[in-house]
Amino acid sequence: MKIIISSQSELPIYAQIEEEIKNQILDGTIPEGTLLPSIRKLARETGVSVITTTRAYSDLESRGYIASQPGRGSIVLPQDNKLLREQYRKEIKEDLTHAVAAARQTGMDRQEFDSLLDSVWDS
Amino acid sequence: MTLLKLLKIDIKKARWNLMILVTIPLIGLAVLSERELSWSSGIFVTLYCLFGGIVVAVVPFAAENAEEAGFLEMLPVKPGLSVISHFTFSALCIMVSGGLGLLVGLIASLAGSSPSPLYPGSLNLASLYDSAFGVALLFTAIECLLLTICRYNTLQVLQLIRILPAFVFFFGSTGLLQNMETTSAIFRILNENGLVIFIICAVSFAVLAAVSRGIAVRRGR
Amino acid sequence: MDLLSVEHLSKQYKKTQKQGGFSLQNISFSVPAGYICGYVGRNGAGKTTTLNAIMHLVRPDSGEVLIDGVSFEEDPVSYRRQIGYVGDASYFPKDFTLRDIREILADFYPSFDMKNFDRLAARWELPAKPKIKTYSRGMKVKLMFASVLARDTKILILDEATNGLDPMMRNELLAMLQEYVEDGNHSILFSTHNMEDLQDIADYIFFIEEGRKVFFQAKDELLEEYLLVRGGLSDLTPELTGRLTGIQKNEFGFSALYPVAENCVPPAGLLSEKPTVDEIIVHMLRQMRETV
Repeated sequence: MKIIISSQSELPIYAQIEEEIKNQILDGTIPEGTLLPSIRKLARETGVSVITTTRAYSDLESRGYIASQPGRGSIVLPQDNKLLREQYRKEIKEDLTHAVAAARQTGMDRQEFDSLLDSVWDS
Repeated sequence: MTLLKLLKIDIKKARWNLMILVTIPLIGLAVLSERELSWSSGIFVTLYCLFGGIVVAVVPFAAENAEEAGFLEMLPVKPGLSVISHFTFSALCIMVSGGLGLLVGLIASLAGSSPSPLYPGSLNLASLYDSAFGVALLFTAIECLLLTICRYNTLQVLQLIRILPAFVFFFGSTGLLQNMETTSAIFRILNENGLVIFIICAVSFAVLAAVSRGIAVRRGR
Repeated sequence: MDLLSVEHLSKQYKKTQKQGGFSLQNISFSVPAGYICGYVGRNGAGKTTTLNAIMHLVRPDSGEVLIDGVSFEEDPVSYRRQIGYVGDASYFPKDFTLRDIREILADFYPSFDMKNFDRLAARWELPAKPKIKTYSRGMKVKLMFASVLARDTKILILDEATNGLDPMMRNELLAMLQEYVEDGNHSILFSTHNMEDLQDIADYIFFIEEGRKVFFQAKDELLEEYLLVRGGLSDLTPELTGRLTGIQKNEFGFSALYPVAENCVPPAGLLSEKPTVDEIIVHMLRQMRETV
């Protein structure tokens, strides 16, 4: 398992940890059934606060990537394709919601948004 | 047990000053061997030694008033215990310094001494020593009490409290001996009631220690 | 379970009251087991007074401090044994040596581990014979840390303790602090006027200004509450000015905190980024000064 944290990143630290672990679960680097390091160990090793790693793990848990087993720690759950698709769908929707909110905020109309989406899609 | 450990720290704090306690009797011995001895030589040496004792006796208090001593203040002990330890240290200082003085005095008397030309009555050396010990004890107790009360005062005030009583004790007592014609009344009391004076002073010492402890406990230390 | 809880702590200093009035007013907070809390504020804001009150070096006018549920009055000996305190200046008697300190620690703290102490002293190259007053500032700090880390404590109270340490040592120390809380049974309260070092490892931040609490919250929450925005002076519309906290202007532009609300992003054209704890505090202080 590899976790690299950047202080320059736009993402908060907990989200960076989440992303790193999630990506490694999805691409199979961390196979299902793996016991993840404890929240406190991860915090010490990466030099971030316990609250930060706790948040990362609880987010991963609520999204179905890991499960915490009392007394044992956090275990990587199997990622079946259908579930995975569903998960991605949920995340894409979330991201789009943010994008649309930002667009509304700046007074962008639907047409402009669509063309922006097209340009992103094609790039 | 804890008291002994605290006492160990007090001795550590004063370790260089403890040299004074040993040096003064040695100097006294050297001076005595050079001079013609009189009845009062031994007492003078003892008074010198007690003077040193009074100065050294309050070193643990004085060191505690210095800025960088938080480590000792934060030790896990019951409030008031360190004050008791300081008082114990003072009493030890007086005992050691007075004891060494007495020893030198004894050596001097073995070498032979002549009776006083100034004092008509018979001399009671034991009583005089008792008185000197007692008064020295009382002086240190007063110093300790003042240092407990003034612990947050400026360095100058603290120095004054440390030095002044010792000088008053020394010049007062030697003056008493040298001006026998005018002070014979006081001298007679000291000469005849030494043990009583010692007991009164020792009791006062204990009372002042209890008062100081009370002050420290009220401050939560 | 809270290892440290400070309840309604108040302290008024008579002397300085005339000169402008310093006091600690009704400070309450707690640090749960296994977490690190930063106590942040300007010089003279009341940080050291709070820490000294916890250490019982200063007597508060009112309020109570509990260490692992026990007050000093209930059990002064165990209260003090549970705390490891490192001050901003050496608190050892100047004429003592490392050996003296070691002996005293062994006498008074049953949990003191002499081997561990010697190991730390050797690693940090602390000489045993010279008097502590000949130590450099960094060495004094190291000795303080060695003396608290070599025994069992529940909580470390650190008063500007990383001052005077070189970056290497600082780094090593931060790792040791994290190791200390790793088992979830120890906590740390550290005061600082500069969060740079501790920004990453702190779980909670208490911000004090002029003896009063400004906020006490989880650091991650705090960091998510604001964005740091920068822009040209012409971007500062009255509407925007109203939203911003602690606007700091210079000839060519401004920076300020933008409170992040649900689905609400700063206007286009502004540069926005994640603030550091220090940046949040600087802008908040600016805001407070302006509203006075």
